[in-house]
Amino acid sequence: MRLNKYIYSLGLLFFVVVGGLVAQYLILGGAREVKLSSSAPLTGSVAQSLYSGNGRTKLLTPGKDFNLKNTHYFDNNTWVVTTVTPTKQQFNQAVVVLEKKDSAYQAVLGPGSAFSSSVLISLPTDVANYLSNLGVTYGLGQ
Amino acid sequence: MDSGNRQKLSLALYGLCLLALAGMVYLVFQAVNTASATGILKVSSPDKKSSLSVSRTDSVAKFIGVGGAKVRLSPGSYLVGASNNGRQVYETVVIKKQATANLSLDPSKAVVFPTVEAVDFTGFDSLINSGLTSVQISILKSAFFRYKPTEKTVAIDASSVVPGPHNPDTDIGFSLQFNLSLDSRALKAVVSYSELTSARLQLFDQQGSALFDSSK
Repeated sequence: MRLNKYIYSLGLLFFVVVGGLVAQYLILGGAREVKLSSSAPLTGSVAQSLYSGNGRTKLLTPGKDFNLKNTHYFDNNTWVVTTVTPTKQQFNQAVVVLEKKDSAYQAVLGPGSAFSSSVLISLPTDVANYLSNLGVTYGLGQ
Repeated sequence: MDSGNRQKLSLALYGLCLLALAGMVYLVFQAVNTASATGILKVSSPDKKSSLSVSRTDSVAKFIGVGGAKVRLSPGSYLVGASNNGRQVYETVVIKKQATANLSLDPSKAVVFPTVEAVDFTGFDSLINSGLTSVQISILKSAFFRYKPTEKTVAIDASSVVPGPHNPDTDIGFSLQFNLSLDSRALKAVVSYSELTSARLQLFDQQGSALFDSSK
């Protein structure tokens, strides 16, 4: 009789826990919540551009894995050129060109340390000149 | 087990049940709160190996899944990325409260910046055979690229390459005329040069109308 009481209690405990988890899953529609902690401007987009996938489930963390320096904005902040510097030796220093599209910056060129001069044709003149002056282009291009 | 211990065990079990119940009520309450304050982002990709990530202005980026993902985000504008084999594609999505935003991203359709190195140039040896230097060939390739940066192929008809008119008494330069196809569009071209490190490319359509002049 008492044994039944204990089994009943354990069953109730199991039911409560499983029921709660199922209810949570159903209420959230099977989607877990993702919270993005705040960080310096552009670092999220740059971390995505540095991310190759290939089975890795963690993106590089700004401040811990890399920093941005020499960030220059062009054409009413529509274009940005920035330099990514690793905090350790995980990768080489690289340049990324970002363009503001639909209110978000996304990498359109790079990260890389040398770009064909011919890509400059597709960029605004001031951005192209800045890249040329940085010395990160090669070839006859323009 | 004596009756005192049994009573303690029963109390402990009931206490545990109540604690679990309270915990689950809290969990459900939290879920209701989260569901009412967030929206759902549903990302799919025909490339089942593509790694998906999300970021927003002034925030870190996070991995959300491979091939597909369904996550809850607070309202706002986000940059969603898909990466595989070095190719990346991005799209901006706006998340609204209690709404689902659907997105499909295919890294294989990533728009890559056109470069002169990516263009397939054929038949240019015939110009070298006709007297142009490799530097002039590079200048010409860049000029073709400038005319149409999205071009995929430039094929010179080697049999059509002929020297242009040249009067040694008055002309200091030389020229070559030839036919070519630029992404299967038939064009005529004239290359003019007076020194070994420069070249001017002029392109004409089949009717002879000028389309491009690299000197301008």
